[in-house]
Amino acid sequence: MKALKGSEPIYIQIGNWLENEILSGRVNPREKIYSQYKLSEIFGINPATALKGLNLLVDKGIVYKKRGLGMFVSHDALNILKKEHKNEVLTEQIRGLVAEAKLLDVSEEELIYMLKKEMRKAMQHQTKKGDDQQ
Amino acid sequence: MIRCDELTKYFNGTRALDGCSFEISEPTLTGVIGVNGAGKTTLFKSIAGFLKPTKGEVYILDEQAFQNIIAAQNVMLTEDGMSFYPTASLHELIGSYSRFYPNFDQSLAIKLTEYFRLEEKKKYNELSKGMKSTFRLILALSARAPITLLDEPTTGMDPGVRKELFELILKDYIKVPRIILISSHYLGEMEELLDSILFIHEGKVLKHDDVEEFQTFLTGVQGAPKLIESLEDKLQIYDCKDFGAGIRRIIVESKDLESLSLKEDVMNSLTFKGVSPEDAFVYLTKRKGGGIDELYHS
Repeated sequence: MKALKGSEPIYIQIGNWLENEILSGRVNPREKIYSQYKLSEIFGINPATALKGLNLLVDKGIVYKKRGLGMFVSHDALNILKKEHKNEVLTEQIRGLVAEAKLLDVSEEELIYMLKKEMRKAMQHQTKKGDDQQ
Repeated sequence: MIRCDELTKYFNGTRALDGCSFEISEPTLTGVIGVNGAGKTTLFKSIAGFLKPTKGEVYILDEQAFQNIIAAQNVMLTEDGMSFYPTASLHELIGSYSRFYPNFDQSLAIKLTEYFRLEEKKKYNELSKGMKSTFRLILALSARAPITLLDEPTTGMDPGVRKELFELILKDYIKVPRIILISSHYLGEMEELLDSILFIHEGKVLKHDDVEEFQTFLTGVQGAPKLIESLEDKLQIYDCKDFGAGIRRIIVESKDLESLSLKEDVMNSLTFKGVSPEDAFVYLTKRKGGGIDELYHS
């Protein structure tokens, strides 16, 4: 049983967890997603709460119901998710970053430079990982 | 399936339930919460048909619950004060319960008794407090009654067993969805199991809603004392605390806060925090006047 923590309502945490499962490729488009009862068992939560979490994804078009078969990840789930996360999650984090930079008297140029540096590191890391796999 | 209509119960002039009304018709795992003496046990006993209402009614499957055999066979109540035939072994008790409750799963009861290391040959009164609670819960779940009432099912258990039993309740509910009502002082521990909460206060239903509603309806607002005080006249305050160092916090209803439509610069200078159902319960039942802090200031 996995443990959930945080002050957000559980169904929202379930929704976020499911989105990450899809974004990280553990569940792929057109595949069946965890059922309400499976989620209920994984997290030790009420099945109705699990269903509310799944329905958050249904409302966004990330997941769709097949009558009698359960819920599936829609073919453009990744596009929807990436767009949404770019708009909300990333913007939110950048807002925090900018506020912190302001507090520390970090200039715009300096912040952009730091960002670029981190981006480059991430790229190198990725290529290295790619090499390892070959 | 369960309908309480202005249910009122007096014991020798003392009011235990006072116009309690609610209805549950779908399978649910509902937590029944309230301070000691709020009326939870009286409510459970009334639903089980053990008590005759002073006023109002309780209906089970459209039948009046009091001393009704149909109601009795469809409702399983377990509570601390339950008495069992003193000379019967646990094994014999399981047998006699399985004869009374038509859906009783005897093999489940035996498996669980073994799993929790309760000796079948022992008598109920020979068990420790925590083991008694475990055995009662095993009987209650194995009965598979359409309405299962668990009154403080984990009394006297250590935290490890408690966690396991909450997991057991959930698993059994997933297997056979039915109406299960649980009263417990450990709301925080069982919150994730529940879909609804029935909040009893002074013999009445104060709030009956989804768990999510209880998780979101109060908000903590924290900020500079002057700013917080300017909000206090406009809002109903459930709690208020000065932390010193220029921080004051109030607890308010989320919808009241939204209706103020504060400007963005005001919003940005405040910190908002969710209030857990367990804390919400404390704020809602707090006695009028000061809290513990006050006692130490005089």
